[in-house]
Amino acid sequence: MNRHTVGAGAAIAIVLAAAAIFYGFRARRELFVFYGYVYGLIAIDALMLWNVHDELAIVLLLLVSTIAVIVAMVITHRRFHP
Amino acid sequence: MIADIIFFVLTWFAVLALVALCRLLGLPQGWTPLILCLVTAEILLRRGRKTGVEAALWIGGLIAFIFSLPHNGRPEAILVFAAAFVLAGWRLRNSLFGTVAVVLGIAYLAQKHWRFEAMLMGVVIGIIAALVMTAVKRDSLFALVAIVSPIAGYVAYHSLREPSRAGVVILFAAAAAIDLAIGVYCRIRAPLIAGAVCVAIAAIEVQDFIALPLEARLILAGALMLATAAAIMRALRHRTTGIVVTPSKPHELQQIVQLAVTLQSTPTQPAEPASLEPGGGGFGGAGASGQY
Repeated sequence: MNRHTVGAGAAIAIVLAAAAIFYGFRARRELFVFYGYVYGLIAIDALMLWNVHDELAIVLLLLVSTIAVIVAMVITHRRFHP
Repeated sequence: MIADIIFFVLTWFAVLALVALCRLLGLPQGWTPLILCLVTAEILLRRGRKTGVEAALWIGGLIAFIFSLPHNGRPEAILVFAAAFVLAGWRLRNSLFGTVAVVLGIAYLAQKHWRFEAMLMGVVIGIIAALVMTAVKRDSLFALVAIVSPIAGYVAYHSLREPSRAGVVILFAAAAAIDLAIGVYCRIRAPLIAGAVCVAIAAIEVQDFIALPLEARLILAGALMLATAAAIMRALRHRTTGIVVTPSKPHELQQIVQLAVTLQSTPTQPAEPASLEPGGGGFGGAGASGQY
């Protein structure tokens, strides 16, 4: 990865992920919301991992962000299938 | 289905991160993920509908625990993993985990160099599962096992890379006949699929007995398959009962009659209470002493 373009790439990915989430909620298409969450998670993790160098902090970050996304997905799933 | 897979994969990733965190913090790498995963999974199971997170937590916790145990590379470890899948499959009523346990049992036999026995076990388990399906028609565990275990058995056997044997062809042809007979007689889909799988395996195995170039064999097999498909389509073309090839649509008149019955049965006015006339008859119940 190029050091200078990581931030821009992650920002583009986050914007597109947010767009997918927005479209998914608007069109009531659950999978688009999930794609948005997962790609957003990957972009945020990549951005953080590029800037954090402590092993423990990296693992904690991965664990917390993944659990957060799973919780968000479960809530979304229940919203789409009440 | 796709949502469940996404949940499963993400949760597995979280379990891996948890194991790494335990290692970095110096916590027990087996017990800590096991307890955390199982407790979380049980809480989720009690709180609501299954999503795939519970399955990943159950099997992830168990596998993390197994990997933390001292190991020396013996094939019996496969049985420990099979036991983990049985336990998780039983708790979650997950047919996929049950099937993985069966496949791991076959893999254990293959790892012990009992390859022919592994194949025989795969075929026998498949037929037993198909037979059980005649009693419990909509059980996905037995359906999956009936389809997957012959494949697992053949893969276990074929890892020897030996030339084709007539015994193997006869075994799979017999299994195909039994599966297809069960499927047609009891009208269950899974044994029909298992029968097709066994036919395909027998066809793969029989290829060394045909003294033709590979291209000719492939053309011959394709032509045979097309002819079989055409014959089945022709035989089932106008059938409306039993095994059919097209989903039946209700007849227009049938739809009108059904609509009329529905409308007629809908009450338009509140029903009047039935007036009771005492002394109208001396019926003693069940026609024992009936007097009108």
